[in-house]
Amino acid sequence: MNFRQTLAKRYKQISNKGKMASKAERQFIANGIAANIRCDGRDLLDRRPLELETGNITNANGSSRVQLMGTDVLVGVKVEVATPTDDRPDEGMLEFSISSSSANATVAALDARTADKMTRSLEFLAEQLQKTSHALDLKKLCILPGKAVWCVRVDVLVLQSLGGNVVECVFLAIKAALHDTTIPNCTLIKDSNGEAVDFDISSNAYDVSPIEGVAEFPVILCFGIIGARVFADPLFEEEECADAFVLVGVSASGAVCLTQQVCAGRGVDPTTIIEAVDTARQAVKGVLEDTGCTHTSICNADGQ
Amino acid sequence: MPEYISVEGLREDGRRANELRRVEANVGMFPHADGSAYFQQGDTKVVAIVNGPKQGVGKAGDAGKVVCDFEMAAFSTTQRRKPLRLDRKNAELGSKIASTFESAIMTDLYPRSQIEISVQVLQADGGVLAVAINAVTLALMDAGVAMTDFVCACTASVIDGTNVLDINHYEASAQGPELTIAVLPSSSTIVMAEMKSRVHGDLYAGLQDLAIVGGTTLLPLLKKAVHDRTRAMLPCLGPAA
Repeated sequence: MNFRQTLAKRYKQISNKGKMASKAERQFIANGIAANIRCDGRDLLDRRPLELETGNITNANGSSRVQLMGTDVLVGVKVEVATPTDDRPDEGMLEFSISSSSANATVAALDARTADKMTRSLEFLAEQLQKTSHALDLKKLCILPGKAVWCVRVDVLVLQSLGGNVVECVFLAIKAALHDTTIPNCTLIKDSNGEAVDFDISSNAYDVSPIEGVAEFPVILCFGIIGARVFADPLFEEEECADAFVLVGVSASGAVCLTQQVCAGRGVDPTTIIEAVDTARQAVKGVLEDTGCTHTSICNADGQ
Repeated sequence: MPEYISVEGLREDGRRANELRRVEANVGMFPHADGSAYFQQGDTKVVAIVNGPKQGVGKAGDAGKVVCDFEMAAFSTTQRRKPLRLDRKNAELGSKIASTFESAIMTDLYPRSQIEISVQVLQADGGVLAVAINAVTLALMDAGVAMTDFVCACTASVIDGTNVLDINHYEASAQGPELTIAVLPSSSTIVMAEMKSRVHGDLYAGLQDLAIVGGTTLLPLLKKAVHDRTRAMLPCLGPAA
């Protein structure tokens, strides 16, 4: 390798702000975790304060934004009338699509493929979360069986990810946006036999109701593992040098509905994972109470 | 037919014909980006991020290159639009923004380098291109990129025979011509003009004048946003010498 190539490589390392360059840095973080001190001064299970707002996208049926010191996630929920599928004529639809903004790609030096991989796996997790928890009763989203149902589309936009802990932010934002979502009320039009043949969607912006069951919709908490230590709310730097992550889907009542271990480096002792799951169950109540996600509707447009 | 301008001369949202929408700006909210800005005009909300100047990709030129990525969130429009990987409309808007700023940035100062801009539209309610340009100006200022002037953009249209400034989505449905103009206010130079409809030749001059006035009116608002940001950063320099 000639001098010029070395220089170019070095430059790449510097310009990839997201990536950590040195082994020493990794060692520093790992030693810190082992001694119960993290690089921003937190304890292992402490969380950073996060900022959550709802209702910021006025032309969506529900929206939220979660900011966590350099991680920024925006969610918009749109509700549309759709035709149900033949095998589930009386069930509404809940669709998740997660994308990483180009604004994130430029800053975090993410290439399109990595970003795609990340968002696809998050989409999969979101679908699993609904499937395993049955929190939202899709039958309640039916308007006219076989003819019309509500399709709830949840679009997640990751604006920034260098603050770390994107997973938790995404799922908190999804939950908050679903809390914020309102669906227009419908009146059924019946024929002379008393059978519903058509429906009328209310055009009054205040004649709406929240989605039923959102309070039980789970969130996913993310724990990092280095050695035998479990730590909550990982920073980007800590994510870079963690041995593994444990993602735990828990609902407000503490019911575990999904766990996933993502191995990043070495394998993990089974007891460590159980510790992470237990910690998640204990932590979820506090997290949801802090964000106000335990009530049925956290923020209605008219303040009710 | 809907009434766009009332007998009293007020528009549907209560503005006069030559009035801008409410403006909100937030500069430097993303700590990891070189420059970032949020700009909101009425209900059109845009985030712009600037990265660079950094090492150029591809053929090295004597002047810096400006590239722009333009994206709209799926929930930004009234009708949900699934974002596509290669959206021609977005690509066109991106290259339009890039070429606009190539004439405002002192690219000679950044040889062999590249300035990356990404624009993310969070909510679209008319005048997206104009709002995006204003947001990018602020983000470039935040990144400390040398520019000859602020670039201020504004739209103008004709509805029922009246020239109106800064139209929103509802007013765009009146099918009037929509002219977007970006100006360098100190020299009153136009760096970008776009109109995608037919208009009577006699009307054009009036539209252009109105859009320029709109752009110049935005200047103090953009300046204030930059000043506020700089003032907030002052304590970071340590105690005054």
